[in-house]
Amino acid sequence: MKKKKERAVPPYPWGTSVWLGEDCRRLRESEQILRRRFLAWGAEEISLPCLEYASVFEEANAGWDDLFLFSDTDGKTLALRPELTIPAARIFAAAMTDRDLPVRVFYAGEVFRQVLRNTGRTREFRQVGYEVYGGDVSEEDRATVRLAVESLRDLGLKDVRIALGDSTLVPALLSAGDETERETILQSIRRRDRTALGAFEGGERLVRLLEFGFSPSRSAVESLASDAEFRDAVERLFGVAEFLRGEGIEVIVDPAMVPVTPYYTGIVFEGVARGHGRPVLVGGRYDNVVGRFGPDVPAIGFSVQLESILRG
Amino acid sequence: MENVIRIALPKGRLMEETVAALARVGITFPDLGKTKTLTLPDRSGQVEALVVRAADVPTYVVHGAADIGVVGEDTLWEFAERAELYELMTLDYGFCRLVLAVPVESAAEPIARVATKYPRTAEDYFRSRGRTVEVVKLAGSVELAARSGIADGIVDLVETGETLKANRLRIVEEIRTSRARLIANRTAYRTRYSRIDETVRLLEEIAGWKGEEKRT
Repeated sequence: MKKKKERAVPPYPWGTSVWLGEDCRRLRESEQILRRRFLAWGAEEISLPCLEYASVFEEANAGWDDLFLFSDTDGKTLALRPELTIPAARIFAAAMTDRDLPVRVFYAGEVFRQVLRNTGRTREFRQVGYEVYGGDVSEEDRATVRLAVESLRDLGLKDVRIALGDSTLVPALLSAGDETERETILQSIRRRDRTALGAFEGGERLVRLLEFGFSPSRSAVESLASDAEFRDAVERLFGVAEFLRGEGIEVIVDPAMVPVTPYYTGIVFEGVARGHGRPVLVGGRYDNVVGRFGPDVPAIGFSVQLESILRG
Repeated sequence: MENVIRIALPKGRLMEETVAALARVGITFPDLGKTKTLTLPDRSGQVEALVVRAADVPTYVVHGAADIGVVGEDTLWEFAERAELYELMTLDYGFCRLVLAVPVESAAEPIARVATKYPRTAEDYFRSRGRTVEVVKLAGSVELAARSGIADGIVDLVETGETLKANRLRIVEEIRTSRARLIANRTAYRTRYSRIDETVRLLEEIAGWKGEEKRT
């Protein structure tokens, strides 16, 4: 039998995202489900540019090394957006500050990041995000995390749980040391690597924090330190956790959560679901981002990782 | 099936001691070595082993195909997505050293080029000391590289030093030490914390593990 001749087609770039047929239908349906939820919550949809000055991201995140970069005609460096929180904050500061606070927005779109090849990751992926600017900080913390859980439930995910932390809690336990050592310690905490932490001076306290595990008692965590910043962080974390539990939401309190994104200034959270190895939602409070582009307005938000949800 | 904990076990030098350590905390795989199947239930039916290449253990765990895994720290040094794993404990076996070795008749300096199976770790080491050393990646038989002129020296893992001696190489610098580690998928550890943590605590008890340093 004659072998069927295969016609070679030009390959498209690796790590890009193609949605066809049923796949594409499910993607749009998921976005529609989230859209309905956010509209019902009083948020308005916005659409944001893919191109932004690289400096905008670099200022917010020193050491951002996964941007796609281009030269603009005037010699400035442009980047494809690696996330949408910063572009949204910039647009809010530029065009929406005359509104009554709080202002709620949501958006859907691709983000772009350089990733290592052959790790099963794509370089462009779709996110749907929600952000709220202004309002009562404690009230918005609670409502936003609850909205995040409701969004994941709407999408039909099984066994949804929210891991909750506070980005200022671990830093409050670190003694002032040099920058390199500090980063190494934070990395070790992210990995829950007690062996590495035990080798640092004063690391016993951090080892103890890890050994409290998930959902420890408030008094256990409180016993670690007594300065104001630390107590505030514990207060916030357990305040939100107790509120969510009261709403029947299963919470994993992770006092050792240290987000990689450096602009968070309070409550941080990750949505996890059975059957998904990576978080399906990430979010947190960032009170110093809007102020870089306009008036100082506190903010909190989250983004849903549609790629992780629909493609495991 | 939903409640089974899946553990990725590394083929090769860590396998025997890993199986022994798990047996001491009551996790045994009766079919191990008796079948070509790569997924094996344990006696209790609570745990399932995935038998994979040592270098693939972190990949299985980071994607959540395995909930936990045992792997040498040396494998983690080279794993690009190490930051996405939890490293729950260091085990008391699998000790080895990553060293820079040169032919016995060579001087320790200058080194312009090294051959290694650990390119990422070797490059980090030299760069963080401001040394410009070119790193050549090889898949194995690294000792030969220094004797055949591909490189001035090699960066390789040594347990006893016998292979180095047989190839007339001598250690000039120790770069890092490694032991076996228990790693976990972030989502699995968070959602099945009590089950996994119980295993960690049992392993710590039998090893009398107190970490590298004293713990309170």
